[in-house]
Parts: sequence; structure tokens; C-alpha cells
Amino acid sequence: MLYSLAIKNILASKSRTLTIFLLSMFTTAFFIVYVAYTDGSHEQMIKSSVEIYTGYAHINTKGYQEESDYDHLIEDAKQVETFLKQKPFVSNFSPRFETYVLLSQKEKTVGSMLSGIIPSRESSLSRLKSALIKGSYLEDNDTRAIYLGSDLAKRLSVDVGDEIAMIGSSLDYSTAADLFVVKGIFRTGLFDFDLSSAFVNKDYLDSIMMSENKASYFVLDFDDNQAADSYTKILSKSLPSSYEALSWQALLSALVQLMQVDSLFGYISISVFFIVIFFVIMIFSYVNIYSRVRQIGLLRALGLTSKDIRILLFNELLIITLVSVSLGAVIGAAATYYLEVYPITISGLADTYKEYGIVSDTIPTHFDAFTIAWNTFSIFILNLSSIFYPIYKINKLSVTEAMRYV
Amino acid sequence: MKLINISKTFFPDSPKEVKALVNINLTFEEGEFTTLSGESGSGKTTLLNIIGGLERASSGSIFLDNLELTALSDEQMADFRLRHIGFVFQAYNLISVLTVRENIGFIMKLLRFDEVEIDSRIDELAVILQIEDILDKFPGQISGGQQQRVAVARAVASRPKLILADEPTANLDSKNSERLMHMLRTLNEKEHVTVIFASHDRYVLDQSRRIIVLEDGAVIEDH
Repeated sequence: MLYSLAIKNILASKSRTLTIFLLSMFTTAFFIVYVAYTDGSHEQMIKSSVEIYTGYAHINTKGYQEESDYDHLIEDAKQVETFLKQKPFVSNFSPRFETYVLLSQKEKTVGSMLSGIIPSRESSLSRLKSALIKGSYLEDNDTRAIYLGSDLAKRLSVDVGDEIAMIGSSLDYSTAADLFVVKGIFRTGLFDFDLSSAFVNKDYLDSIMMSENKASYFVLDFDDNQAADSYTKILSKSLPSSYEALSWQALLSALVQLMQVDSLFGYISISVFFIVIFFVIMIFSYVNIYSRVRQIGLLRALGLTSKDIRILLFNELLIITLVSVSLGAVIGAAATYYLEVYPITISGLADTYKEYGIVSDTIPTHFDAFTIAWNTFSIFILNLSSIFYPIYKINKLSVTEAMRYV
Repeated sequence: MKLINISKTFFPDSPKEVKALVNINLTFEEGEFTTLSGESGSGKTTLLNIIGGLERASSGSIFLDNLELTALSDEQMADFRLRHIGFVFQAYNLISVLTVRENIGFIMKLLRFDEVEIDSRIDELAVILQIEDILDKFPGQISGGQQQRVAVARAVASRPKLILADEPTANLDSKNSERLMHMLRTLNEKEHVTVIFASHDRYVLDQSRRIIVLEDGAVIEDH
């Protein structure tokens, strides 16, 4: 009977019902899309940072992350290769040798991170090959070819085919120098990376730097990169004690913290919006309930208890909220899914995004059923909690006070 | 029903203190048709509300059979009202979102009467109270006289022991007042339900078998 009365009250108070219904529905849909966008942005930041160059995991000697110098190099790269080949969940890997050098062309000299890579293996571990914008990508038998970031090339005022000089320090700390020809120019969109990175064939760089069978670290891909953290823990347990395996979360801890802080501030911002919605719904419920004080007084006079009144009023909001939040969830989920499959692309957006570490012209959204479920549940609970104060106030009135209420 | 030393003071120990009832001692027998009478402010509505458990007495006790009503909690009193008391108010007080049929059957449904029994009782009362034609209408669609008859039907539908009616004819014209009183009297005789009015309407007083007159919260006449 109370349930049926609740439905009749809902249908009778059309304006209140419609207002709460629309508010709840749009809040739910908005929250889902907002969180999907935030998560999508973070995912894109991770993808940009991880997939462009860093990779999902590294193996390096202990201490290399703190001091990336020649004293912390992998001394026997072949041993690590053999070890990794025995791990079925490691789908790809490649050694890298990184060193800081000076690159010079005519009167211009620029400091750069020069990396020795195995070009064929890198093409599946990073986006270096696909970032090519001019010339051609490196090959495994290249010798004096260098692959430059677009902004570095610009600073050096060089183009494909130009010659540049390199001067650096070999492993015995003697001076290493050579001339390279620009074979290709790449642009990843990561400004700092494009401004400071240069790549050459590792075998050739090893011969100059005296770093044969050595590596700064190995970069790894797994059969399931989502499980990178678990896999690196497995690898760490079986690696020789002087080595460590680190997942992207550990390698990019600053980025992870930045995303956590960003999420926190995002939730704080949106909670202000929710508080407004909460109070709007509470005020509407309050006004609606007080417009029915006499009816509530009558129901109590007829024999309904305060508990029955609480159930009646709670049921009214529960029904509206259940329907509106469910519909909002469906709309929000559908919009999120659509935007993930068909993201909105705005030409030139990457320039705006690049300061956030995102390399894309699309607005990223991430569809995740679990996230949508907890978003929906949060709004549901928030809406329901808005009825408690009006119920408390109405039940404080005595039956006769309520029946005489004007 | 026995009322022993019932007193009611509003705003006690404050400058606005009002002694609405002072040491009321009364006994109501089953099947009575009684009116509490008196001028405005004499305390008749307050007494009716205390009998019905809508208000708490400041002191004194009320017993129905061997049950002390004044000792019941709010929740227990609400349940007691639901099961044993029917109310008819001055301002009709029907539930606006329910049809006449639903209003009449409301308490029976809360008491989980069988649907067939509810329908049969509604139809029976509709004939007695001459409201058969408006059963599917909402309170806002019927006249004041009809609304008061519906309120009576709701009050008696679940066959309570006691009907409390506060100025039931105050908003009715003489014809509707007569009709209402006639119907209440019929129900009183047919169903042996105890009816207590609070009213100063001459016609209601004429129809009553017992009249209790209150003045300044005290019983000054009982005949």
C-alpha cells in the first residue's frame, strides 16, 4: 500500500518529479562521461609516455634509476637476453644504450640524449618508426646514420642528408667523436623528447663508445601489458640479484602521482557540482514534503507510524532515483562507449594537449563498466541521502501540528 | 473507556502557558453516541485528540478495557489507532492522490484485509452513505458533503471500536449535516460502534444520546 501510495504521489507531483528526474539523470550521465574523459586522458598520457619510447617495463642494474651513469650499466647484455628468451610472457625486448653527447652543425651545438638501439626490434617496442616525418627510419646495418627528433633538427638547423658532428664520452671516459648523416627526422608530439633525442644503430654506437655487450637497460613488452606490474615482480624474483625489473608505474612514478593528484582535484571540483545538485534535490524534496505536511499528518492520524512515513517518502525518492539514475547511466555509458569508439577529433588539439603529455588530436574517453557502476552507485547514494533531512524535519512535527500546518 | 484525571497544559512553565484540560474523569461505554460540547477553546477538540492518541495528556490515564493507552509509545499508539479508532475530521482530510474507493479501503489495506472483503465492504458502505456513483473519482472532483461521507466511510470501513469525529458538520449545509448524522447513527446502531463527537452544532447535540459540556477545560455537565 505504501509503495502504491508512493507511486501515486510521484505521479501527482509532476514538476518535482520531473525536476529531480532530469537532475539525477543528467548528473549521472555527466559524471560518467566526465570520469571516462579523465580516465581516458590519463590512459592517453600513459600510452603516450609508455608506448612512444619508455616501454611497459625495463630491466636494469640496481641503482641505474637513481644514477644513470656508466657505473650502472648492464655488463653482460647477452646474459639478460638469454634470460628473457626463456620467459614466455615476454613478447618483445631490446637493449638500449643511452648517453649524453653534444651534437654540432656549423656554429650550432646542442646537448642531446643519444641512444643506441636495435632498429628492427624497436619498431615493435616503441613508436619511433611510426613517428617518422622525413627521410627514413634506421636499419640494423646502418653505421653513420642518425635519426633526429624534429625540434632537435630544427635547433641544429639540419635536414635529411645533412652531416652533424657528435662528441661524447666513451666507457673508459675518453672522448668519443664521429660524424653522422641525418637519415630521418621524427616527431612524437612529446616536445621535450623531440627536442633532445637522437638515435643511432646500437652496434655502431657500441663500437664508438666501447660498449659492446653492454646496455643501459632492456625495454620489454609482455603478452598482456596491463599485467606489467605483476610480470615485473615475477621477473625480479628470478633475475640475478644485481638486476631489477621495473614496470612503467615505477619508471614513471612522477606521472602516476601527477595523475592521482589530477584525479583528486578533478573529484574535488566535481564534488562542488554534486553538492549543488544534492542541495537542489534536497530543497525540492523539502518543499514537496512541506507542501504535503497535512497529508502526512493525516496519514499519521490514521495510524501510520513515523517509520511508515519514512518508508513512504524514501520510496518516492527511491523510485525516481532508481529510474533516473539508471537512465542516466545508460545514456552516460552509451555516450562514453561511442566516444571511445568514435572519439571527437579536433585538428590541432595535440598542440594544446602536449603540455599534458598527450600526443593526440582526439579527445580521449575510456569506457569501463566497473567505473560506470561505481559512478552510478555514487550518484544513487548521494540522491537518496538528500531525503534524510526533510524526513527528519517532518517527523519532528506532532500529528496535530502537521494536520494544522498551513 | 475510562479517563482518569486527564489534564493537558500547553507551553508549560512559560508565559504562554494554557491549561486546556483540568482533571477530566469520564467513562464511555461501548456503543455510545456522545458529543463533547462547549464554546470554542473549551477543550473539546483537545480531549478528543487525547482520546484518539493524537496528542499526549500532560497527566492522567486512559484505559480501554484493561489497556492503558497513555502508557503506549508513539509507534504503539499509531498501531492502536490504525486497528481500533476511526477518525472523521472537520476538513474532510481525504488523501488527494487516491480515488474515493482507494480512500475508503486505505486502512483496510494497511491492515491487510482480503481484497474481496475490502471491495465488498466498500460497496456496502457506498450504498449506506449513497456514494456509489463517485467511487472512482478523486476527492478534488466531489463536493464537500460527499467528501465528508467518504471520510465517514473510511473511518468505519475496518470496523473500529471507536469513531472520533471532530466538528464533522462544521463545513456542511443543514441538509448534508442531517444526512451525515443520520448515517452515523445508523452505523452506530447497526454496527454497534462507539461514536464520540466534538461539536457545538445544535443538530449534532440533538442527535446525541449523551452530551458532555466542557468549559475552560473542565466538565461542567454530563447528561
